[in-house]
Amino acid sequence: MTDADHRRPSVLPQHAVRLLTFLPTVYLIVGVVYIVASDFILSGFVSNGWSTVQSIKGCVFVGITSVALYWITRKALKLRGTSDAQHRDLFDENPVPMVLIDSASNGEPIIIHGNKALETLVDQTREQLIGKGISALGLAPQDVLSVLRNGGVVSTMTAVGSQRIIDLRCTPIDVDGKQARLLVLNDITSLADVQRRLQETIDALASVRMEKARSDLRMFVDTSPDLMVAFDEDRRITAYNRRFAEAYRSRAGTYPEIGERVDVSMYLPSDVARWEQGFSDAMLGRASEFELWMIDGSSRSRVIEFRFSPISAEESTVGVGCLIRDVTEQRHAQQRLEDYARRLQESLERYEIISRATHDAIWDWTVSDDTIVWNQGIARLFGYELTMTSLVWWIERLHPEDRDNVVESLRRWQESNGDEHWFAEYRFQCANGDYLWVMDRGLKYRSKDGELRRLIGSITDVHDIRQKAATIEMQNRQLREIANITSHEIRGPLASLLGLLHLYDKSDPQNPLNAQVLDYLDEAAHNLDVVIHRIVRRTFELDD
Amino acid sequence: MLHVRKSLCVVDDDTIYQFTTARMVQIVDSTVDVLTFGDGEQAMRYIHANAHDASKLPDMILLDLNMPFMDGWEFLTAFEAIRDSLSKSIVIYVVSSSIDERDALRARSYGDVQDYLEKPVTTDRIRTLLSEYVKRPG
Repeated sequence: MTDADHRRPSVLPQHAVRLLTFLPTVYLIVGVVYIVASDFILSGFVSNGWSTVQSIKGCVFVGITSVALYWITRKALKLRGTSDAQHRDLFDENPVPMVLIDSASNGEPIIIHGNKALETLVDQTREQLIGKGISALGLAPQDVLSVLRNGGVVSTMTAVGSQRIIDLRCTPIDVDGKQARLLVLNDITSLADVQRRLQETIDALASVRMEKARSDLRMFVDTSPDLMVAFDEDRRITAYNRRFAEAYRSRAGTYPEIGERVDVSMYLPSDVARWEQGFSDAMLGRASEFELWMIDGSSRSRVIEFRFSPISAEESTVGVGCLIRDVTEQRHAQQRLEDYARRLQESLERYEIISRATHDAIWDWTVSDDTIVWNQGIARLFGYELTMTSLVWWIERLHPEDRDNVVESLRRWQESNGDEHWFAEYRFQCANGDYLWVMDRGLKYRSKDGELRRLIGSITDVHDIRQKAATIEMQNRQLREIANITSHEIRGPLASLLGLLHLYDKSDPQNPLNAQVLDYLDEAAHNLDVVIHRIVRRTFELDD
Repeated sequence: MLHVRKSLCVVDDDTIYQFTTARMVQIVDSTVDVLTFGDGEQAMRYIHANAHDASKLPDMILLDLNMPFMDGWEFLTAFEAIRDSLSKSIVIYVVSSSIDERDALRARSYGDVQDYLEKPVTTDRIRTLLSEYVKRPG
């Protein structure tokens, strides 16, 4: 069952009404015949007067119930008649034009009925319309057939002397057992008129804006410092801006004429060829550009840039737009920029070569955001594969015994106004955990107004130097010790020897004192030998 | 007039030096007694014990610098502390094998040190010292 079936009005057919009218009479006849016949048959088995009384009682009951049934049926039919009248009134008095059409036949639908609003709309009476084809309403039959198939359509009709715009809606309906369609005709002419006026207003506004945009564009083009000119496919001038006109006049003595063919004879032959190529490319839909050198009125050479762009209309190229610009200053600036970039690159290369040659770790500490940028030396010296750290990262890798002194030294230097250089020696932890002795030298970098912006410095590996210095220091101590041995200890036994020799009695070798002297000489010589061995041993330690 | 024997004290850990010095003193003047100590501590202990007995205190001390326990410098410092409590004045000569000029300068900076002598000490030098000593009032 479709939605249209649900929307169908519940109208009782005429034959059903007639059947309901005769229903009480039929009930009375059937009831009386059944009672009399059944009682008669039963009287054959029971022969007494009681069966007659039973028949009379049954007939009275049937008679009373028949009357009641008749009364109820009448009431129902009366109510039904009232409902039908209300439906008809609702149909007839509805302000929306409606018409019932017979859609059973395959041809043009026939008008069955219409309401009063329909009469007003089409300016015809219902009597004039009933039985006629739907075209009598002024509607196109194909629009009506379309609405019967698709359920809704907008159509037009001529009514009340004017063209009306109608929104057609269709609903299936059963009229006296016949399949019919209720066609609702909404006159939306006024609404469409409002929409049309609104659209006209929008279009007008767009037109005004477009004109304003054109005006702005014209002003933009005329005030542009660049020369702008447009050519058609025959190289005739079709438009130009004020700057082009002035440049043209300064060369030719007159203003350019619309329709005039462009004169390229002022250019060098090689430049003419490039001009021709650019124009041809643009006519083929490809934008192109080139530069050429010209001498201006002050005999200065200028770099002029030409840009050709295709002008398209309806998907075909109808001309070429040409933008001519003096790019001399840009090229000079570009050249200066390239020179600067080249020098900067060379400087960076020198910096990298020097930093590689010195094996130093170069650091650049920006004070404001506390970031330290490192060069490759941080990897070469300490094994850290990074380029940026914080100051805390650096402090954490200072040797604990050096940390306080170095950080305090750095703080004092940073806060000082006069001292531009900083120097410190400390131990710094490598990525593998070992510590290296390093020499750190820093320099302040200030802005033009004297504000401290960056601290830049380099860290040099002095581990080997420090080790060698420690070795030399130890050797110095040993040398001092040897000198001390030489000065004190060797002179002790030597002095003893000299003293004993002095005491020896050469004049009397038999003097008993000489025997004691000789014993002590032997001891002194032995002591001297011990000292000499110590010196030799210390000397060997020095070599090690 | 009562004759009082003079005495000389050798403070040195070198037994050969002790022997040669004692022999030279005997050769020069056999009336001079020679006391020998192996380090400064022994000598200081002796002086301290006899501080009030002038007959037992030496008249001259030949003091070495490099010695165990208490070296010559420590002895000089300790001697300065007790000098005023001694019953007689004692002349000190620092005698060392060191030829370091700094040792000589330092030794002479002590008020109790008469002079700095380099080893070896000869008989003639002993004689000179004793003759200077003899001239001193005794």
